[in-house]
Amino acid sequence: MNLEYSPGTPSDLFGKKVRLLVAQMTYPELVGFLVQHRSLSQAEEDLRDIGRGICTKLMEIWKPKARTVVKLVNQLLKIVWNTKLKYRIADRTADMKPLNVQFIDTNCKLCQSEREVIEYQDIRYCSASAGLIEALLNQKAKEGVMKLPYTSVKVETIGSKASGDPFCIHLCTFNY
Amino acid sequence: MVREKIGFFQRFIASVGKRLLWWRADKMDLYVLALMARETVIKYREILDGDLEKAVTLLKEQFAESAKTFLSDFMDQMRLIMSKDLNDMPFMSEVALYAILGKNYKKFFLRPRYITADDPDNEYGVPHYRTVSTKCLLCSVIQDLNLEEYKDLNYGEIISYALGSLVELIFDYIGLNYRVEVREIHCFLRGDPYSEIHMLLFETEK
Repeated sequence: MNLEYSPGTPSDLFGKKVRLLVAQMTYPELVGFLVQHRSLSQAEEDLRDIGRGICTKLMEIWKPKARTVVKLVNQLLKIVWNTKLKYRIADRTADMKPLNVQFIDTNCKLCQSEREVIEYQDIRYCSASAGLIEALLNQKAKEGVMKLPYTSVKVETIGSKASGDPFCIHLCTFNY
Repeated sequence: MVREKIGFFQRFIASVGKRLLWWRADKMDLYVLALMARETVIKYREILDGDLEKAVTLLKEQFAESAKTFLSDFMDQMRLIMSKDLNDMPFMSEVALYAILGKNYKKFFLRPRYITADDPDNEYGVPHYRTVSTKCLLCSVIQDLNLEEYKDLNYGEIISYALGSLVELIFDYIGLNYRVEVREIHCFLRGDPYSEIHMLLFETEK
């Protein structure tokens, strides 16, 4: 077989689709392993870490043009899980800038992968999504292209369907 | 009852069915999925005291096991295009790859080949399938890492073991008594120009 050495590049993969089921079938194994080997808070941090790592690499090739938080987050989640989030501003600063913003996912694709809700009741199962969002928003803040003039953001998952909550909520806390 | 051989009608049904399955499926970006594997291995390595080999083996075993568990649910849907003829497996694999990757699967995998036990090209003496990848979903996203560390780990087995598990699952379902052994013959990480896996079929007792 005569082929030139070309293992492939990110551009060969980006923009092509694959069944979400493949990710859904491995994610429970990942969470299960973390729960067994780490404390709950560390396991959640590990999941966020994985999300951050994915998004950081993704942004080397994906260059979103949007400059608003909501649009950016929805573009990201559309690519990653083919889902769209609702949002709610929970708190504002004294000068009325958003301080805490909740992104609400009623159709979380990660949580759909877990069949046994009871098994992971204590962990915010879809914390990886929080890491994805955090890496995206922090990178865009660093680039200084956002309409909202925040300097950094911390994102935590505070509700997770697979952990028994009615829907998934990722809470963004903005620093100015 | 599983048929002895796939006929024209089943091929036609499969051709329509795989497109329908793909069209209706929930999808995500392929690059993101590959990054999930990359980042999971990195995290496992961190937890397993820096042991990359253990981290890769862990993901390989998890992926193969979960592929089996989840896809066993789809066996009844695939029944129509299954047969007991080992020559039909490449066709069934193509249908399964289309259902997972859509028409783009051809950019990554060549059509699998079935090699009979008495084929002069067969160095094992047992029937096997050969699958060649012209681009690797896993290697594409680790080119910025220290590849020296990865080259002897059979990294591609994360995918090939899952494929082997699927073939075993199909054999179980249709009542063929074979054990599947997967061997990674060529790998990009070892400098080969393509990746090739062989799935050796060993007949077993019932």
